[in-house]
Amino acid sequence: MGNKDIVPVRIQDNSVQAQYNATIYKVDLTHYVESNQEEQLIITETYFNRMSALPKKITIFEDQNVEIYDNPHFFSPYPTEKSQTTYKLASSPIFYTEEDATAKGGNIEYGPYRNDGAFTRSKIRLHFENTRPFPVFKNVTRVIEVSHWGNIAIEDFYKLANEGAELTGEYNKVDFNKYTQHTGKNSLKNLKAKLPYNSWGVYYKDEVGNISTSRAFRDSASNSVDMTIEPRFALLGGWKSNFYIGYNLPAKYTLFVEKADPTNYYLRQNSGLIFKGIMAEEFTIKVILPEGATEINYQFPFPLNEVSEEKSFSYFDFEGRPTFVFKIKNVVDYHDQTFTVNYKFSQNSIIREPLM
Amino acid sequence: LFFFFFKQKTAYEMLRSLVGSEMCIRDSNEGEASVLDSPFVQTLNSNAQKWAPALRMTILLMISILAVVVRVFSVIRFESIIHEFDPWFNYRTTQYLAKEGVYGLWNWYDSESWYPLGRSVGGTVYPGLMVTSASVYWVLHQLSIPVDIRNVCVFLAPVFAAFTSIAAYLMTNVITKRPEAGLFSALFVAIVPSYMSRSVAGSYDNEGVSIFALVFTFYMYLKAADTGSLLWSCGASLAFFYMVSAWGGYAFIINIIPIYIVAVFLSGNINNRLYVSYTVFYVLGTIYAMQIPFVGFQAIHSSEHMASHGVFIFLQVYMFINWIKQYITKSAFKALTRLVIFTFVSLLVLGFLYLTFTGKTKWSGRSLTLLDPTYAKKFIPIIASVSEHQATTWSSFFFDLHYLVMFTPIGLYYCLKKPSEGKLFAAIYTVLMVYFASVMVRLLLVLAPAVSIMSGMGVSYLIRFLIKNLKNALKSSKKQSSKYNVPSEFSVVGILLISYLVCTYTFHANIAGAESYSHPSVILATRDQQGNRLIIDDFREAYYWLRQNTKPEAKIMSWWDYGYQITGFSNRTVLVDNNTWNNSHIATVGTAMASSEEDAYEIAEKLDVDYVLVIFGGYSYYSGDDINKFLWMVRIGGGVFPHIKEEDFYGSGQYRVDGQASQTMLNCLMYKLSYYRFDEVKTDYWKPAGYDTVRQTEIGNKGYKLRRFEEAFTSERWIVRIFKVKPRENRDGLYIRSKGVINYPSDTATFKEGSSLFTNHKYSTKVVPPKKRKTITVSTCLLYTSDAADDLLCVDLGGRRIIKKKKY
Repeated sequence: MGNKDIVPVRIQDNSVQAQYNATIYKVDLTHYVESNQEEQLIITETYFNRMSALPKKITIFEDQNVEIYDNPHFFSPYPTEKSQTTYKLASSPIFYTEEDATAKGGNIEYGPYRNDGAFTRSKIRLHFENTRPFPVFKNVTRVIEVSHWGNIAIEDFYKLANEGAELTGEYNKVDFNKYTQHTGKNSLKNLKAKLPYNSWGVYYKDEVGNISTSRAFRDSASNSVDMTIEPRFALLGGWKSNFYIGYNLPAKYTLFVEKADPTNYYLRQNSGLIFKGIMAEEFTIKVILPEGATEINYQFPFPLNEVSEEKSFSYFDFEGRPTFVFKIKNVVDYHDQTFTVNYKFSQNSIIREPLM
Repeated sequence: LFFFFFKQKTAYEMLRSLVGSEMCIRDSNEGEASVLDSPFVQTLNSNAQKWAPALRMTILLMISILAVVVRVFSVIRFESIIHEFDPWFNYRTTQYLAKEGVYGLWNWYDSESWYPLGRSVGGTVYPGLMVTSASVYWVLHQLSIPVDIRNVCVFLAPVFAAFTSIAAYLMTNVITKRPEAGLFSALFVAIVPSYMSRSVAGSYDNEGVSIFALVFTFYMYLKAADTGSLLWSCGASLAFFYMVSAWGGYAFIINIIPIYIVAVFLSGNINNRLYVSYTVFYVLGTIYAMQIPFVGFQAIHSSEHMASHGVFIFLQVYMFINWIKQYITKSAFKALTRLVIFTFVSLLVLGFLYLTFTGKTKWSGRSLTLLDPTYAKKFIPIIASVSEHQATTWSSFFFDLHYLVMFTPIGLYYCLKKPSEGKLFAAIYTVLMVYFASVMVRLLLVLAPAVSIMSGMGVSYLIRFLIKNLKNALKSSKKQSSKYNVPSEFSVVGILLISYLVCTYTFHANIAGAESYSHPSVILATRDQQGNRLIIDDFREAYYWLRQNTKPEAKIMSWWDYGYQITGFSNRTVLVDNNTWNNSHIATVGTAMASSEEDAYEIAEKLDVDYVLVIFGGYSYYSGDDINKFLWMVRIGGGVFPHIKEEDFYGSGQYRVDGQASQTMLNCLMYKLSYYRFDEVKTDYWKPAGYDTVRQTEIGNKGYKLRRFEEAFTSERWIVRIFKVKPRENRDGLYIRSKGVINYPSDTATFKEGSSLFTNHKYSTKVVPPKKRKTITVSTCLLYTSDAADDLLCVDLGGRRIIKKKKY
């Protein structure tokens, strides 16, 4: 079937929901599969909040352990002939459900299970050491301000939390700091972001001003601006911090105009986070179009949770700029795609503000 | 500056003038004409006359721009941020005002400060500054310019500095009627370091706008006195109203003007113009002042206003007598005058004494400190503890005013040489301010415009004198005029010297502005070994940690210095802050810091404290830390709670933190929190572990554990340390006394015998046995009524005592 990505469609089936506590997704295949023929499907599922720290609270000297409950059977509405699940852990587990399991170091293999009926499941528990921080963005708001004078200004506001095991007991400055590795292992010391290659005027700040601990350089190899930020303080388990990252993009790379109709504009922007591998529980994208933009349409490669329209006011705006607010829940790397906003804007409107 | 500008108008004219001078040399050989008579110089002169107003305005505009530009170093070098301590409160209040409007501010009861008392902000604040910036903010938003309120606040003071230089120009102009003196004054005041120290971008404090208001009020008043016009008098009282709304320093105006009137009276020049201007100014000004809730009836009964009342009444009586004079004989008039003056003066004195002794009128602690410089040191440690309330040293005079201290006497000489009402005023203003400025460092600020104006007058007078000399010398070398008899070489040298001094002054002012006064103090900058600039951001790191990782209702105990910053940066509740209106509350915090861990814990518990924040510089050479301020905490604490004694904190006769420090010092909370686990780190390769880089010594108490407090956060360079107050453990402190029966009558909670767990013993909650127990009497009553503190102890450092003493 090649390697075409198919977006599954969620099916509302209350009986299954009630009976098995499961949600059904439907996948439309691109072509018919004849009887006695085989077809290979690769299904990627992304879960969040599956792992939780155990113990919930640790001191700065302790290592973080996590536990996870899972179903090692292939969970599907169809009978399964053979299935096998391998868990790759960061370290050899402290505890694992031994039934049907073979453990080799950090790899634990369940199965193979043969001839499972539909909706077969069992529960296993794994408890193992994982000292990495669990960064989560509780909320991300991106404001994209389009200027037809050649600049797209983007500002992201992040509410970051480290949802690893919470710190209990003393902070112990003597033992813990940015440069030591043996204490506070689950602390979040820095984050790496990738900004578009043409970004300029990058800033990193929070509600109380500039944060001086960040570095950014333009990397032509990866075609991006690589930015490393350190929060004001290393985030130990359970700690939070907010920050802003802002940058500008030259309009010529992201704002396109239709040749046939020069009043028809297309704004193409990334709909994902600039931080890879970190989930955002809520992601809001605000697109502020110039005053006078009309007939606004938008296209997203994935369904949105909420769309609303408002007006925003900036320098010398009297009518207000048309603003679209897109809300997406649970944003992961999958959302790292491109969305388009299409609108009409007459060239005459552009000189209105400088004239004032 | 004006002089040079006008001389170097265009290159073309320069060239012509050279030609002219050649001509004149030839001509003078003939002994007839001189350079000044040449037709070219004549045209130049008349041209200059024609263009002078435009030039003046251009120069004034350039000075104003300079005033703004020289103050934005702080934004360029750091960022657009609010500086220091008090500006954080002003900023927070402005934000509130911009959001909630004037009535919102009036009714704002701020529960985030002075826990558990709170503070009624509307009634305890001079709102002029906040209203000004909020108005700017609103107007700009109406014009569809959505600037950030923070930027309005940051750039307000520089803009007002430009206004101040214009006001100084106008004022000097009124005094001398000489625009060049005005321009010199404007230049001097625009960049005088003393004023810059309080008005750089980000220094968002009352003084930023009120120095303008002060100079402008004086200008208006002088104009009124000059013309006797009602309009100007009303204008002066309006300007005064703005000043009252902006700063407590309005007391200077309301005293200087009456003193001026008295001086004019003594010199025998009192006239109707002065009478009108003062009467109108006094009546309207007093009524306006009462409109500010913070001032209210103080404008009637506080001692600071007494002089104005007295002079007002006196003027009325005097004018009445003068009026009667027309109708009675000379001798009767003399007798009447004597009688009236005698009764009047004695009535005034008696009345004042009566009011003072019965306590109907009061001097604020700060005013008393001004009148008696030793007062604060003796009685009010909290005033004495503030660095800007120290007596001024000569070096800071020179650093902050530079050559103006040299020019001022010349100006004074000029004022006294050809006295006029305006000059008399300037002289009185300057002399009084010199006194106040030498009592308190911060009042250098009020002196700055005075000496700038004086210097402007002095410098322009000197230059004019020398130029006239030169002209005379050029006119005719033979007939020396008797009036200007200084040799012309001397004149040239003098002019060059003055130009040099003025240039040096501008360089100095630039350096002072850029290097000394542009530090936000919440961000520190240093250089690493390679010479790279390094930002030390410990304050914001810790404050932001508080903001993000503590409960929103958490109460933070810290020394009052950091109160405004914590509420501003962290949005958390503090016990005490820089509005030091309640001395006993501050003393309680001081006492907690000076007590042993157990005693401090009790205080902290009573005040619902969740976190204790201390500033510690021993790790990173930051000398403004709490250990260095600690003696003030002890003094202020000891002033209210006598069991805290300053001498207990001295070891071998001096204040120290090493092994020879006293046991009280080594075991007090401040010491224990600051140095907690500090003995495990090395700050210097050559020194032992636990070497304090600020005190240059090895600490004396090592290896201790904290029982009641827990380190919650320490910033990157240890500057801010935050400790959590631990909750009491279960059955905390129950301990078994196996021998004898110990039963403290009131302090013990004795368990009933035969209770299931402990059958054979008597148990008591652990209290410190009476013998050892210190008489720590922190009761809630004390905190709420502050009856431990005398009225005079509650001082005004920008705020005022609002809770009245309860009488029992």
